[in-house]
Amino acid sequence: MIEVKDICKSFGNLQVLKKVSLTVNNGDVVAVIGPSGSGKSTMLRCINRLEVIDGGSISVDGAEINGNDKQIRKIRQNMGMVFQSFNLFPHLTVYDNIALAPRLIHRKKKEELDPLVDELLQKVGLRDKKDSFPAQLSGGQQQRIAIARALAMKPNYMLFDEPTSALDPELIGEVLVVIRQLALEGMTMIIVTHEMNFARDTADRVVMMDGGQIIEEGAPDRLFQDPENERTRAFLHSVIGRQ
Amino acid sequence: MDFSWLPAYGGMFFEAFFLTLKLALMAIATGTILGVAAGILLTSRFRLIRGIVRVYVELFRGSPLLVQLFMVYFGLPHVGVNISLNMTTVLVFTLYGGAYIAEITRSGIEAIPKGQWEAAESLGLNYFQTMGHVIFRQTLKIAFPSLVGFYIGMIKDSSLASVIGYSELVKKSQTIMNMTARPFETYIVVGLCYFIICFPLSKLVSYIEKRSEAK
Repeated sequence: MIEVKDICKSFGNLQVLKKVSLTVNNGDVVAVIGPSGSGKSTMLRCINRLEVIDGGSISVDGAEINGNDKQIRKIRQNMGMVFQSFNLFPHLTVYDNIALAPRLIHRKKKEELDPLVDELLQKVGLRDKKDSFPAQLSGGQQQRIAIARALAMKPNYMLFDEPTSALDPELIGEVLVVIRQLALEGMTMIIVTHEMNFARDTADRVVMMDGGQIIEEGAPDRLFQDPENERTRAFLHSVIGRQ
Repeated sequence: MDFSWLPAYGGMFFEAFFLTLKLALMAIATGTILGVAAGILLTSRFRLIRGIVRVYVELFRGSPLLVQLFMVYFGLPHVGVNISLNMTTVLVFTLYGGAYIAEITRSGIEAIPKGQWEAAESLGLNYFQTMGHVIFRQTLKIAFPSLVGFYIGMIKDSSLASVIGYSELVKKSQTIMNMTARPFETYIVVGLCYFIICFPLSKLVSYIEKRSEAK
């Protein structure tokens, strides 16, 4: 379980998060939507401490995240992160990108790594790309490898930071399929996304952020059909109107 | 021009050429180790560490190598340290080279996108794993041309060791000149010796730069 309580975060004079609270139970798939600059990505990055919060608290499985390096590494090993810009390691093959963390952290040998990488590549549908370098792959393929890499430590949680925002429209689908599959398998996930249809059909719960706050959350059908908050209504109207 | 004296002195040239190579290679090896370590420390999140290393780097980049050579050569005995001329020379070149290589390393590390750090850290890797397996390997690729360029400079600068009596090419050639009275021809040979080492290296750099451009 991930419990975010009253977290605040400022960059200089700009307050990006204003007392944000969110609880994610095991098995939950939470989609976070909202306009750019609303604090969605920052909230996600605070959860695995890529950003350090100024106030409030974040607990994972009951343990509050403090400044301890060892603790945060343990939490990160149990919490895969997928970035908007993939961030694959360009000097490593697909195999080594995926195998790096289990090899270094769990000291896994080739006999264990081979079937693990194979299983993950199968999951993202890219078994034939094992020996490719990231630069040889399309954006959609790179993001699928990034998902496989994030799964390599067998995490209980996955965080997705706008996983399809850097992709050409025709490549978005192949990435969403993989994420949807994870949702079906019961993975606990927080997904920051601009893909409203995807949020609606994949998430158990949708969280709407604006101005550094969660202004509304609820079941997708309810939130999309009948938003309570005026700003949610306006946002959905502008986004879905454009689509 | 008269090179008829050359065969008789070939052995001396060869010996001096070897000593130049030896000095350059030793200075490059130790300077690289020191410089890479210092460069990594320059990116440390601890201000005090950065500050200390910065003082070293600026001191050695901000004064002439020639002066550094004299200072250590005359200064060490003054404070009661007596080491061989060989050691003194390698020490100065190491400190001098390390300062420049530290800057090359630092700028290479800082050229790696922040997302690489974040991806590695979000997997649960610690600082050393991230630096060693993700950041530094990419830094090497970026820094390689500037590094080899600096090595070429080091090889040529090794001629300065002649001023404190290290018998490398330039020093030896003075002896040879005294015996042959053929300064022009002697310096042509000396110049060629440096060229033989440096030219292939600079070709290597442009080859690698071209290759990475093509990618």
